[in-house]
Amino acid sequence: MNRRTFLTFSAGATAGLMITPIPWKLTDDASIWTQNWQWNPKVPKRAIYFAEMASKLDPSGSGVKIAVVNGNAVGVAGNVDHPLGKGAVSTMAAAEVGLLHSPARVRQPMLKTQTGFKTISWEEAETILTGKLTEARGDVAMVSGDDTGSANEIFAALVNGLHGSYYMMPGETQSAHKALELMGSEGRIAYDIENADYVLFLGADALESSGTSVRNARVFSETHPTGKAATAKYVYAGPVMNNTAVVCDQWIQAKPGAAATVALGLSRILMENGASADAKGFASFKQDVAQGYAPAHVERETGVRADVLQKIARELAAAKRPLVIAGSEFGQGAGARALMASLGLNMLLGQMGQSVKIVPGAPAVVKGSGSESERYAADVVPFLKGVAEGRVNASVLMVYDANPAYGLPQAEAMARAMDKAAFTVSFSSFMDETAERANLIMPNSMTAERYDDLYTPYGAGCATYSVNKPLVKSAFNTRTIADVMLSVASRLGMDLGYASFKDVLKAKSVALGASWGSLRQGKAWTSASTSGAKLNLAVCATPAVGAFAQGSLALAPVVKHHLGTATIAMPPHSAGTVRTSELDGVQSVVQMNAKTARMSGVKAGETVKLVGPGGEMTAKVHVSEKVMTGVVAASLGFGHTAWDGFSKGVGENAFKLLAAADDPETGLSVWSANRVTIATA
Amino acid sequence: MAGFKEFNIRWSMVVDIDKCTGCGACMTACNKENNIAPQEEAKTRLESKGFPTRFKKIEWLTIYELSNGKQGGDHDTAFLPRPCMQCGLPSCVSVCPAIATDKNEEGGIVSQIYPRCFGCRYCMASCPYHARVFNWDQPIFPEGMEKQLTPNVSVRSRGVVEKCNFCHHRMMYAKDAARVAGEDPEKLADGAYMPACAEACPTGAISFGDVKNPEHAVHELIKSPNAFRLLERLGTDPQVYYVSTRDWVRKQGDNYLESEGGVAGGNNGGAHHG
Amino acid sequence: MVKKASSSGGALPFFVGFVVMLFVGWWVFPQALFSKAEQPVRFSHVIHVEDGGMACEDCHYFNEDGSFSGIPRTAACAECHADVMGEDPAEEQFVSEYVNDEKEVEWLTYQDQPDNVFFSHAAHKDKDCTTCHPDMAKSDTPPTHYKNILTGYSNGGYKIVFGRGVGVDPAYSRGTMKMWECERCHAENGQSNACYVCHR
Repeated sequence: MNRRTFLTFSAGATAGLMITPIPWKLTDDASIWTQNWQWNPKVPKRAIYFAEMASKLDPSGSGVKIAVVNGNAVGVAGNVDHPLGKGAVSTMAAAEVGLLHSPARVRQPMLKTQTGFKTISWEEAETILTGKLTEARGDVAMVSGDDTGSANEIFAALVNGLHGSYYMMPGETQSAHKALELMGSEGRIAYDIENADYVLFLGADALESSGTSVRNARVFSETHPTGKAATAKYVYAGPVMNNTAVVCDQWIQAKPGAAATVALGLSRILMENGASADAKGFASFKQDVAQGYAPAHVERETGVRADVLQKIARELAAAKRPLVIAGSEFGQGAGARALMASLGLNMLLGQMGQSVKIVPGAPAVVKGSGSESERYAADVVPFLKGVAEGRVNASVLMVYDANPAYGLPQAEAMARAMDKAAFTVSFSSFMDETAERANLIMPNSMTAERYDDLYTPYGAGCATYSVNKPLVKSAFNTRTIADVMLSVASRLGMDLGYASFKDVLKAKSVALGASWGSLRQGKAWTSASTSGAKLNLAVCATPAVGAFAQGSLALAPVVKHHLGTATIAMPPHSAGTVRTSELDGVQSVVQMNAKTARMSGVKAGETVKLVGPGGEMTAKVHVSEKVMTGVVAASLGFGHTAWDGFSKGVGENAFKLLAAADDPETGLSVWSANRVTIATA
Repeated sequence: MAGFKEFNIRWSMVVDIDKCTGCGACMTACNKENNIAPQEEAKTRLESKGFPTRFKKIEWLTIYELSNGKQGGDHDTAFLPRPCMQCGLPSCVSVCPAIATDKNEEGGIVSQIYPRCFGCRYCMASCPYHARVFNWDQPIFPEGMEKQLTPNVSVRSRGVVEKCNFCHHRMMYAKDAARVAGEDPEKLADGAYMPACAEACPTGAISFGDVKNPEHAVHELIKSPNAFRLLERLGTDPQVYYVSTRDWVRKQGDNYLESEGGVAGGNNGGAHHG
Repeated sequence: MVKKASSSGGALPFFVGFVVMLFVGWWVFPQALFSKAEQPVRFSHVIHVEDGGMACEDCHYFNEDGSFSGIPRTAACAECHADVMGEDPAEEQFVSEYVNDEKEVEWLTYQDQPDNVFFSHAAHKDKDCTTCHPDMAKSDTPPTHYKNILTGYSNGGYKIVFGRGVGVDPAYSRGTMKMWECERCHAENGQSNACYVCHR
């Protein structure tokens, strides 16, 4: 073999190669290979199986359908049959699937040690918790943010059995319980928005974040059909043109926290024109209102002009089925007054039992759990403040479905309370600000992974009940905390009467007279029954606590669910929805109108420092006419220091600015009328 | 004058701007439905990096915020969701060197075929609506999220352009369901095929259907004098219509000057090409 | 004949190279390119069709939403095979390894298409199954699964090659069914060949 022979051999081989399939095959394969890169994840083949589920992450309780492919939850679709979902999918309902594999999820129980968190087994976690609860002897406190679930009964029964204290996170549900209690009744407030022809929202961001916002939005859609005349008028009164106001037929500018005053001002005008209510305490209510809420006074306090007030009163009186929904602009901090004032107004309009109904609370099925009202009676804000300042002792502090270290006024103090409590336990599914500070994390499975239920969220149309069952296998080593606590209770020697949470749910459905089989299939149960209780109007007109703190500007915190809620941070798929009017790079943005900017000596784009009664924050200024004069608006949902890259490390937490003031008359502290100072930073 | 091609079916979206609250449920639904990898930087829009990296954000549906520019009590705001217009005369199709995008399917949805696109971005330059986005980086799914991919669309690689396709996969699913039920797949009922954004919208701002089918709601909706399309005078013949009772919103739809009194509303009145 | 010491080395090396390459190209390369595998369970169609009296649609049917059920899941098989019914060792293996443990069989797919392809069985339901698939009714063993190690796609089991049936055959030089097969049949049947008809 010499070189020439070799070359001839190669020439022959090349000629032969051309008539074998090799070059053509390889080219063809390369075309497949380069169009379908192996490192891109492959998508599953369908079939898609849809299963009903009521969202627990969405405060409006909307029912949706989870799309499952090969045992994985891949998407969320609408459920037109669910009375609170009506086919829509809000950002928070979408997060039920979007957060399942969030990097922030806690994957197994964790115990805090000197060097950080270490993973432990569920067996160990239960043992540790049982031990701590036994030692605590009455110094046990539990904070729950679940306004609709029966899990609370298990927790309350356990805490009551230990002579501890139970707290529900502040919000509209707590305000509603308090309002009804003060007015001599109990149960849950229901709004029949479907049949209302004139709806006045006083502060309450009812199409975005307040009450059954998804259902409200669907009803808004039905009453405002595209291309046809609207069949109802929706009016929003508040300081900011938020997501509700931007589509309402009219936006009335009213200062933050003004809902109660406006409602009483309207009541006065109606009563002057002869309206009355067949209720206890009407006489004293009429007198208080006449004295304290003249239009001129209302204008001074709230910024709502007298002639505008008169016009609204006329429109309300003329409507066939008016409905007034009042509350805090950001879902917490209005105490009970706004609601009481609006109930009084609704009564004057003859809408008690029509547009506004009182429906029975959920029947208790766990022995020793106490009543709903009892669970809502205590105010968690002064309690945590006390813990933070060392005045109040908390040997064991348990937190369920809530993030008090982030989403409460004086957020920094609340976070300190988590540290100060001797032993903090977080049941969060996520490594949130509270879990980061906890001593023990026992992660709850997510909604699609566990049994749970949902009874009549605040503002629903009637008594509504849904049951969820696990739709997918738990992604991580998490459990249903309700089941875990039943186990802990029995370790503590308490017999709560149930072997599993599922049995509690069955008992609940029996107590309600609902069909368990139907509930298990994802159908919602509704009942038109109402409680015929008579409300006492006397308390509705007592004067509100004044605005908190000095400051040239009133602070209007704004909630938009695409930025998350007070409990859940912005879900990954919503990260792109942030607007430059809310966040600039990594800096928070606050909004004020041109006049306010001039008055405050700041310019658009400048960095300013806001100092509120609870703390301070820096932000850039965005000039927008969507904010009332004299008000600065700040978005809630930024400033996360925990969670994951999708929400962490951008902006500042506006909850820091807020501080709660006591309101001894109602027993609920208030923080919806805070003021701030502003200066260029 | 006919559009690019006349089809018997013309899938169109009608967005009622007066009902859009800017809540973002449509964007979130779209991102999940179409296997768009969540980007951590999306929230900061990467403005600190100089390059107009706000365009690095992958989103098929963008919500613009409009303002009438007035001060005080006269001020008004509107939100406008903008998907791909599926133009009757798509400029993107006319410039694509690889025919990765085309408008040749019954229904008029402009297709975008990912393996065929080699990323020259000529289509992005030509689209007057900025409806197309480019995968500058390899999309990364946080660990575990790749289990949640939907069967609807393939995962795109770095270097290809993508855009809204009116959830075309849902049309395929609706046609299959019709076939199995023994119905005509070319005559889908109103609501049988709805993109994810239209389904999710809580205030029902987005309607969808075949404007050539009198049984579909959108057939009537586009005849409203308040209906308009974006940048109509460019002659793109979009299949996305907007409705607003507010004059200033309609005027902004095609950058009308103050001096131009009449607005497009009623000008298209159902006709498909200006 | 005088053997000249020619400068090119003569015709022989050329011829040898040619033949060697033909051998490599037509025999060695296909052996190397494809990895062979058998299905995890030796499923016999003929037993189910003849002895069981079943039709294609009993296991391969359309769901209500229009999707195709594909290969049945273990639970569907367990409706009859909850216990071993016959004497075949393959059935015994299936029941003990899969039915009893409620495990899914990881069937090897012969006709995988890339993610960007949308194939709808419902759109083709008026065609007979054997138009595109081999007639499995008579088959006692599943065809060997040949996987192209470069692309990861299976190679064969499909029938249409240049419009002629070639039976169950690795169809080596053609590989996974490509776009032109779909387009050709669509064109012949007056169906649209618009991109989005088959892509997603």
